[in-house]
Amino acid sequence: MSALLDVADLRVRYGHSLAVDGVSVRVGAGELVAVAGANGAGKSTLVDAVAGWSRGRPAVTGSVRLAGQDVGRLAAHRRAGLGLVLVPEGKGVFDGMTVQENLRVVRPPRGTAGRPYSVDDVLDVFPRLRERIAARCSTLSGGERQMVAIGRALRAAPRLLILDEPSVGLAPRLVVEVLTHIRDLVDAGLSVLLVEQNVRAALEVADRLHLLDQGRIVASGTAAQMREDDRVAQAYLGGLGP
Amino acid sequence: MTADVATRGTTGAPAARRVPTWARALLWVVLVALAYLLPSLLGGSDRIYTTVVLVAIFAIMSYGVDVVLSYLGEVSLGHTLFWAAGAYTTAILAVRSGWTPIPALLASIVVTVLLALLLGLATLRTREFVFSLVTYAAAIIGLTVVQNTQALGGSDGVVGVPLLELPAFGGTYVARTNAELWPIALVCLVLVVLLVARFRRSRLGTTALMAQMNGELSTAMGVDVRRTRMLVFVLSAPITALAGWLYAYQRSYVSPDLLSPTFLLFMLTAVILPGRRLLLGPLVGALLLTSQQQLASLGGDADKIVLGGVLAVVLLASPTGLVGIWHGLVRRVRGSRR
Amino acid sequence: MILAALVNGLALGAGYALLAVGWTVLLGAARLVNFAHGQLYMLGAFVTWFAISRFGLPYGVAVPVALVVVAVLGVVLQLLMTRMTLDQNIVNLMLVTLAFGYLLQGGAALLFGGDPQTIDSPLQQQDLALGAARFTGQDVLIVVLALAFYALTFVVLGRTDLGRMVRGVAEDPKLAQLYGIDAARVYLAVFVFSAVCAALAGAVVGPRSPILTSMGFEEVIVTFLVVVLAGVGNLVGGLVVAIGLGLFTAFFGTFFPPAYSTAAAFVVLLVVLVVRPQGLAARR
Ligand SMILES: Nc1ncnc2c1ncn2[C@@H]1O[C@H](COP(=O)(O)OP(=O)(O)O)[C@@H](O)[C@H]1O
Ligand SMILES: [Mg+2]
Repeated sequence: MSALLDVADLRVRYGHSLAVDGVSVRVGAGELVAVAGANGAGKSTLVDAVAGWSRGRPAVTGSVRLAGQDVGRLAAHRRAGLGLVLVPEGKGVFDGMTVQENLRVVRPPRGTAGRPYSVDDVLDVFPRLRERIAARCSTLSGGERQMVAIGRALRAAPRLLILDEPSVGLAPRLVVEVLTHIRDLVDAGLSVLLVEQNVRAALEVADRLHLLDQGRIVASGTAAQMREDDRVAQAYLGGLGP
Repeated sequence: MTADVATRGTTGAPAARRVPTWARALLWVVLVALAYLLPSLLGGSDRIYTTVVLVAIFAIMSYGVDVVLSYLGEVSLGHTLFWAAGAYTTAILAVRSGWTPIPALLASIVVTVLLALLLGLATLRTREFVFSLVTYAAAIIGLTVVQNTQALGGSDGVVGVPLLELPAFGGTYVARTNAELWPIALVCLVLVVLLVARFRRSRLGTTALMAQMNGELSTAMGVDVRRTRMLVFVLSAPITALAGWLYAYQRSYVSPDLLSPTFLLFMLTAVILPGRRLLLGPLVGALLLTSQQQLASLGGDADKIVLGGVLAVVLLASPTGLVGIWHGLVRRVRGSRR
Repeated sequence: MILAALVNGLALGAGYALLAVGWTVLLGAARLVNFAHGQLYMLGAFVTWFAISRFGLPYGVAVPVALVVVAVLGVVLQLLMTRMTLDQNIVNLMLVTLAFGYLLQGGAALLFGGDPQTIDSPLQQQDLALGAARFTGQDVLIVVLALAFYALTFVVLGRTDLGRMVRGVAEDPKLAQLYGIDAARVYLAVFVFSAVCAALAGAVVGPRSPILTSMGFEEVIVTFLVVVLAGVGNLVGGLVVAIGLGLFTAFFGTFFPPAYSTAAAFVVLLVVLVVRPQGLAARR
């Protein structure tokens, strides 16, 4: 079986330091795969490299295949056009534009991408945005901005959606809300690669989970296996998992 | 890391770093002596002397821009103003008030420092490109103003600058020809190179480089980036003015063309063509460009195309200049041997 | 006399506005300071003149020809600078555009000669009067075109996908990539637009007075005065400042030697920079 996303032996270097050291990840169709790990483990560097994107100047080697097609040499906007869509960590929307403009500026997908979401479809997924549709994004709350960021990603008709810590900085109640939304999207057929520091929350929604440490995958398995895993329990669940 | 960048260029090979100071000093003395003899070795014709004097003058002029562009990493497009201010102050004081060269030089320096302070203070709080725009505007507007102000000689300029006379042992040294001007020009050039070398090792020089490499970091480390920018800019102005002072005597007249973009392009290209942050870079650049213009000129407009073309091609093909191309070649040769 | 200066200033200011509109968008979107802008203005005028005097085209056809020629030139220049623009290497961008400008000036001098020329526009012969103030059909054309271009730019930036893409790239070029936007293409579009605006300004302002291949340097300064005084990227502010600058120039020229008018405006700018470094109309 060939996976929708197949990342093999990815290495990312910033100058002399190796931030991602030979990572391989696969995401199947309709699957939610989570990547967890401590701060600075290399999670963002990994998913940014998969999307062909960075705010720095990393050197990337390894292969990235989307539905069998080698996209490893394409620029980020080309990968986005093919349905490999990233919502980066931190600033993920144009602050100077309204919610509506952010949703409309997305380049419509070309060719083989996944399900196209209209602006209305996005508003159905995130009803809360409906009343803020004409607001500048700089005036939104953290949760609302994250919804806009995910919403604009949906507009690009993703086949694979990559979300880098969508719940960071959100109130616990909102974390659950955002992650539930994501799970709903997956259940509707979307494939998602999710970066999440909060392992407990990630395990609630993910099908499988990889644990990253110092640029290497140190543990992986299904959500159920990982919940039982001692290393995970000790490091992230405080040894007292529910 | 900054120290490494700053010393690169003076020491071509790594081995040179181990050469003792006295040997280095000796090497420099020999180099200067050779430079002094160069025009006579090349036949000693008037044309040769004119060329080497102009190379020295234009190199000094370019060192002013070099200090700002290479070490501060900002683009001053107003150095023609300092160049013209040096020349005009000298010419006007010498012709109309009979000032001798040394007081005229001091006056030139005062005038340019004031101009630099004015431009520097006005752009102190602005974004990077505003500095370039303001300095550019100052130079272009300076051109119109000088052309239309009779007190500054209008479009004719100021003619009849007397010969350069300096007090010397037992009398005065009078530079009647370019051959006689050459020692003075060379001494000025050597002094400027020494000054720039000193600057590169100074606190201000390393601070400027740090501010260029990483403005935020150096701010966090307590460096006042604005003050550094201001100081370097004000330091650079009199260097270019010194060249203007020499040029007024060399040409014996000054005219508004000193403010034309030609000299601006010359300065920038002289710094960028060899590669930025090289101690002798502007000298090499001035040598190449002046040789082309003096010995292989294609006519005014075509020379413009050459000058603009060289600058554009270098920036597009190898922004690190000829040195960058050289390093690339060396790497390739080494790589293919492996 | 006041009225004459007012009308003249309006035409001048509209010309400045046309000159500056593209630059405003360019600087806002690509953080690209184009020092060759004045030479593109010069080429707009000279290609128009060339098309009329050499090929006998009517003015109305010569202007579009000039726009196309400069647009093609703009494509070539921006393609050469794509790498630098994407890297946001502002220092080298300024230097390379300065070199381009100088190159274009030298090339134009070789191609078109060093003599002053006049562009033959039928509208320039059309004398109109408004009370005591005399002006020409050409002046009306300049004002109309300037207003039209500002309106067009305003609508495109605010209401269209293209405009949103330009604003997105302006705010955050890296993030724009994730929206599927090809920043290089946006830069190209904006640069060509800016070049065409400059050329149009040259082609329509040119008939008002003799043209020289050495012109263009003052025009960059004027553009820059407008853009910096208005605050970078501020479109409406740009129009207001441009008209204001035109009026200032016209009135200054009525009472003082006109050669000093740009210098006087520059002094105003220096004062403004000290007092309000972010520009007159900027919000921050
Ligand atoms: N732009 C950059 N330049 C240099 N090093 C970076 C850059 N971004 C991240 N790093 C380094 O790479 C490592 C991984 O960072 P990151 O991928 O952001 O980790 P995570 O997302 O897991 O917190 C860290 O050591 C970090 O310091
Ligand atoms: Mg991260």
